[in-house]
Parts: sequence; structure tokens; C-alpha cells
Amino acid sequence: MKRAFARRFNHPELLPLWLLTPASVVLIVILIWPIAQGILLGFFNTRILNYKAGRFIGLANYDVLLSDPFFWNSLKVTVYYGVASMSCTYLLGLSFALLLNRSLPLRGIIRTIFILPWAVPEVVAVLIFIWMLDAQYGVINYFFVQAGFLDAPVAWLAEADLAMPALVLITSWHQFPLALLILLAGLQTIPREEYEAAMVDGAGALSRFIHVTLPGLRSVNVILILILILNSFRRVTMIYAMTGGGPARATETLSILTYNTAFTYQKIGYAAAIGTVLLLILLAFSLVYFFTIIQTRRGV
Amino acid sequence: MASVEFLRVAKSFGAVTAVADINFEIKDGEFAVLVGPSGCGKSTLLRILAGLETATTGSIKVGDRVVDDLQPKDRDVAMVFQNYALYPQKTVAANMGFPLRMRGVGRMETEKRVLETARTLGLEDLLKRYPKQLSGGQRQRVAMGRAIIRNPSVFLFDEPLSNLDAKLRVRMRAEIKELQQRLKTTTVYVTHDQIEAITMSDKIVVMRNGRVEQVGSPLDVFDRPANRFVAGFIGSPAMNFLEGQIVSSGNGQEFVTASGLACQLPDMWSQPVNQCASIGIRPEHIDLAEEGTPGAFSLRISVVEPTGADTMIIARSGTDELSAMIKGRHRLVPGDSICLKPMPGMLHFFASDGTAIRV
Repeated sequence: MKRAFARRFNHPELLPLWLLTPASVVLIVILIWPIAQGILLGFFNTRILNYKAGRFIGLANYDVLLSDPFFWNSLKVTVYYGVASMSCTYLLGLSFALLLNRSLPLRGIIRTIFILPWAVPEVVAVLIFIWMLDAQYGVINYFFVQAGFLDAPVAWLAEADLAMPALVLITSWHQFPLALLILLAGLQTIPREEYEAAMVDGAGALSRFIHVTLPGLRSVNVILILILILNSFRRVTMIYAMTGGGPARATETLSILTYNTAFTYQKIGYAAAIGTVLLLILLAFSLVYFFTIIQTRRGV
Repeated sequence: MASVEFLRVAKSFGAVTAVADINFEIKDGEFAVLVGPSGCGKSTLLRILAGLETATTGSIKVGDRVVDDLQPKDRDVAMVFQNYALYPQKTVAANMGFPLRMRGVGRMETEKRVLETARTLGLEDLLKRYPKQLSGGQRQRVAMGRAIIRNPSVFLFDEPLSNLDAKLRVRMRAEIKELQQRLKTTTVYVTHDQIEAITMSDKIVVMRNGRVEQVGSPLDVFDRPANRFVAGFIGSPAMNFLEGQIVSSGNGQEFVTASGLACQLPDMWSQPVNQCASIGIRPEHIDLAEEGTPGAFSLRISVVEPTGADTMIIARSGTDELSAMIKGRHRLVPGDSICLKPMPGMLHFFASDGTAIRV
């Protein structure tokens, strides 16, 4: 009996399963378990200070959420921030990737310099930018006033209309090296012969960009845009350090709203519900892009 | 339709000279093959003609036009690349139509001509496919379709068959030649395969180390190689070379190798005796002979390779080695001695610097 049992578990086809077990356990403990806890917490009215007193309240958190103007504002802000920072980061990255893809003198050094922003810790970058954007001493105001674009210095981060563009600016500055690296890698996979064939076929520089470069970057683009959007949706540090979600909630993305709800307003149950919605949005994005990737692979 | 003329063309990459002092002309409608070992500069020369590289000095004329300062697209040439260089995200139809679209040809007209070209090449059923879904031979054909669709003055082929398997290569070789004969478009074809060069071309340009060694018709280059390099490069199996010198003996002149092989020379030999440093014999110009035949080499067989129709023999004597392609089948055993006689008048003579000596 005992031997039969042992034989069944020693079966060679089960070996892969045993080998996967440790990794699976780790994943469950550090990934699945917390996520499940978070989702579960969304059905309770738990508050941080009296954690044990939380009661199960079903979908009440979600009910409140749907009629919460701050939630809808955050959703709007998140989409604005995500799309704007992704676009700027992508365009910056693409421009510099195209530049670095040419044979330039000192290309290695230039490439390293371009990657530096990414190496700067987010908080440090934010502090530098806050200083540069400062209404009284900031170099940006100084430049704009000197150049005649502005009559008087502006408190960028205190204006509801300007805080988000400033945030997008610093995000793009900080993140474009990532786009640059991925796009440069993508550019380098496009065979030189394709460009040469296009040249002989009569394509000018713009046509070559449209017919060779962009199609050649398609699969890289899918992954890059996904990464950039997902990163911007779940970014906390940079926004929190820069504006904390203000002024007047103009930069309060869903991540920031979740953070504020949990740790400023102490409503951790409600925050978990917001977090779950954010999770669902990210999941939806991931699935869309996942299937796009599969389709591109199959199509071409 | 146009002729192509290279006038003192040279190209260096930094200190490295890729091609130098290239001078030859390809006539209108001619199929010219640039052939030579890897790194001989043949592809560079083709790319200079296409406008993908600029010559350091010299000039190229296509028809009556000097094209040196023209962009590739303005030279009226079409090119087929070694790895086909199809646009992976475009269908076969879009790939073939691309050169027309780039020249502002309308959608309807493009579609019509794509269909015509596809019919010529047997690609009608593949028009909606993507390059990835095609076999090597089909991709090759699409690349050719993209080249012929706009009816250029000159076709350029850069080792187009080297990515295909041996059987397909032979078929595509015939297809390309047939297509060229039908379209009568001037063609410059680069290959390192001398069989391709001989079988396809009207004119062979043999290159080595960035220089042209010989220009001529395939049979001319085969029969009258300008030097030892060309003689050894063109022809398969390769020509035998024997080093030695000419000595006068009682009954005329003999060529004697270092290891003592001797070969009687034809009576017409009248060149200064000391000039000749080696002789060349093509394996198919060697016959079996009876022991003691005058002018025959006596050797020992090292390898016998029956090829079916013929028998290939490699035989040695000292450091001298001869390979001979003997017609028919023969019972020969390695280790046995054998007598081989070059066919009369089929010997090639070379001076010590490698240049051919005509008799």
C-alpha cells in the first residue's frame, strides 16, 4: 500500500509538477494571497485604527464608489495622466532612439547620458523639478519670463490647470530612457536590407519611416505602450512627492486616491474597493494588449 | 533598357580598399555576372551601382547618364537582395506594388500590374499572404516580382540564390535566366558560385581582392583564362596545376615537375623556354592511357569517386597530384598505378607571376 503510494508520486511525469511547487508556493504567498486579501477587504467597512471592528458589508463600498465624485474625478485624471505621459514619453523615446540608431560619433557616451534620467530616483527627480518650477527661484519661470512667454512667474504646481502638464513633463523626462532603450532595441532588429530595398524601390526618408520603421516597431510598440500605461496607472511615489494629488485633486490619480483614502482618511476597506477597480482596469488593459500581441504574431 | 559602364571606379572604407580601378562595360540587354571569392568586392561594386554606397573615385554610367550623384530611386535600377528584404508586414501584393506606389502610380493601375507580374511568376495564389507564410523559393520570386514590376533599365541581383537549397537553386537559376531572356533587361548578377556564373551569364567578370581579373564570355573565360587564379576559380572540378619547368630533350621539349613527372609539349610551343612555371590541366581533359604512352604521366591512385556517369580519380606521384574525370565506369583500385594523358592542345601554361602564356 505504502509502496504503491510512493510509486504514484515518483511517477516521472509528475516530476515537473514537483519542480514547479516551490516557485508556485512563493508566488501564492507574495502575490496571490495579498491580492486576494485586498479584494476581500473591499467588502468590509474596515478602518485602520480599529482594524478588528470591520464588518462585512457586501457591495456597499462599490455602491458608494459609483456615486463618489472624487472617484470619477480620479478616473478622469488617471486616464489623462496615463495617455498624456505615455504619449510624451513615447515620442521623446522614439525621437532619441531614431537619433541614436544612426552612426554618430561618441554614440556610446551619448546613449549613456540619455539613460541617466532613468537612474535618478523618482523622489530626487521630483525635488529637482520642484526647485526648477519654483515660482520665486525656479529656472523655468526665469527662462519663460526672460524669453517673453510669461509676464510674471507662475506657481506651476499650485495651479489646477498647470500641475498636470508639469507632472506629465517630469514623468516623461524620467521615463523616456525606458522607451528609448526598448525602441532602440526594436530599431536595431529591422534589417538594413529592408531600408535599402525601400531606397531602391523609390521611398524617401518619410516613406521609409512609415513603411519600414513603424511596421518594424509594431511588436515592440505593443509591449512598450502597455508598460508605459500600466506604470503610469500605478505610479504613486512621483505624484505623491510632487503634488500629493493636488491642487484641488487635479492630479489625484486612482493610485493616489487609494493611498489617500487608506492612509489619510483611514478608510482601508473603501480604499481596497478602489484598488480592486484599479486592478480590474489594469487587468483589462493587459488582456487587450495580450491578445493584440498574439494577433500580431499570428498575422505576420 | 540601358548599358552599364564602370569608369575607373574605386572604393575604400578607411584604409581598406574594397574595389580598385574597375573598368568594364555591360552592353544593353546583357546578363553579366560578377563572380569571385568572398570579400573580392563584387557586392560592393553592385551596391555602388545601386547607389547604396558611393564610389571614392571614378564614375558609373547607366545608358547615357552618369549616375554618380543620383539617389538609388532615381537610377532606374531594381535590386534583389540575398535575404530577399521583403517588407514583413506587407502582403505579397503590397510588397510587389510598393515600388509603383512610391512612384505615384494609382491604386487601380498598381493592382493590375501586380496581377500581371504575379501571373508571370506564378504567384497569383499567394498575393494575400505575408512573407513569413512563404517558402524560400516563393519569397525569392516575390522579390523578383518587386524588381521587374516597374520595368527598370537594369536588374541587380546580390547572391539571390545562396539561401536556397541545392535543388531549388538549380531551378531558380533557370527561371531567372529565362525571365531575363524574355524581358531582355540588362542584368548584373553577383555570386560566388562559379557554376551559376558560367551557366547564367552572357558575360563573366571575375574579381579578386577588389580588382577585375578577367572579363569575357563564359566559354572564353573557361577556355582561355587570363591567369592562374581565373583558371583555378572557374570550372568544376577545379583545374589541376603542376609546378615545374621546361627542358629540352632529344625529341622536342618536355615539362618536368619538381617530383619528376614529365610531359611532352606540343610542337607549336615556341615561347621562351624559361617563362613557364606551371601548367594547368582540367580534370575532364585527361584520358586513361596505356603504360608507356609518350606524354602520359605515371601515377598512383589515391581516391576513386564514381559519380555514376563518370569516374573521378585522384592520383599522386610525389608531391604532384592530378584529379581526372574519366568518362564512363572503370574498375580502379586505390594504390594501383595508373597512366594519365592530357588531351592534346588542352594544356594551359602559366608564367611565374600567374599570367597565362598563350601558345
